[in-house]
Amino acid sequence: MEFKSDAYYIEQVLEGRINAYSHLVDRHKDKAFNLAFRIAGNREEAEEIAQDAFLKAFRSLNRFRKQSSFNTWLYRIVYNTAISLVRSRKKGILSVDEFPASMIDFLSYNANELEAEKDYRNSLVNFALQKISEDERALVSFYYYDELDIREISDITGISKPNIKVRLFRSRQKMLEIIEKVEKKNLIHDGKE
Amino acid sequence: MEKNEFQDPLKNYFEPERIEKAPEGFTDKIMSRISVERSLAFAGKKAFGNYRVPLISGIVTLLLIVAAVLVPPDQTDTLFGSVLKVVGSFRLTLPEVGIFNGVGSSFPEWAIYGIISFSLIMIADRMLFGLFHKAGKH
Repeated sequence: MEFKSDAYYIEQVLEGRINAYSHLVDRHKDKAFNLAFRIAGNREEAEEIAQDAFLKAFRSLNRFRKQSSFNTWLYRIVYNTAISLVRSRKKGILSVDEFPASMIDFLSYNANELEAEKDYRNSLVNFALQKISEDERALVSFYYYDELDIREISDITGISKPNIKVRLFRSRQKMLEIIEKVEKKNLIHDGKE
Repeated sequence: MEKNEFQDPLKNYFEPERIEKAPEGFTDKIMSRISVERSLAFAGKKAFGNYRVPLISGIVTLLLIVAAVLVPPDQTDTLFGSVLKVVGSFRLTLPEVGIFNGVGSSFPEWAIYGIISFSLIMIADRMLFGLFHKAGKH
């Protein structure tokens, strides 16, 4: 199938061919969902956020200025939707002791050790992400998962570049501290068995 | 703080290729929500279009009744009273209508004014109907 740009599908939608929007959704849904998941921390809310964001984007597609890419514009909507939802939820912060016990024994249950190690690290990162603020979660997700540079993150979030650097530095410190604590606890757990 | 500028121990924990994927049927759900939203908006617009003329007519009639009830004609200390006073001070002289003089009709003068007024209202009504009907087609 011939590759069509985002701009092409946007034009199609604006001309009334609504089904063209499904191509845009298909193309960007995983990244949008991943960002929502990293900020919200669970799949149910992530789906709600990502769907709302795509609907908002559809409703205001005629206001989309082509100065930035559709991807950046959509990310901005996902980011704002997720931050508002998480702030309204005001969920308590988890303690290190609440790290899923099943994950502690994960290595011993999984046949493929390399995959198990990856799953374990992934869970550890998700857990540490839930211990930092929603703004920091978004920044970390943009930086490490989407591998965006500081300028791109600034375009999406509206936060100044120096401020992003400072927040990323703090988030990194906090996350490493949490991960270290959990791993220490796991070593004690393994030692007892 | 560009990437790879320093050894970042946290980077080892992230695997960008292992992103959380959107669930099955995600696109279909969005497209269904868009369809429902659009059909509801269209139905609302259509309903308003159908009832637009009687609605505007009803509101105007209601306003006139309210005005007639709330503003007594002898009240002069309100804005409406002042307006009524100014209108009352105009000397409205209607033209002499002599169209039936030649045929020797015994039509009362008020009936002639009534017929002319009725005709003007009919013309205005047809014009407004044409206007709204044309707008409704778009």
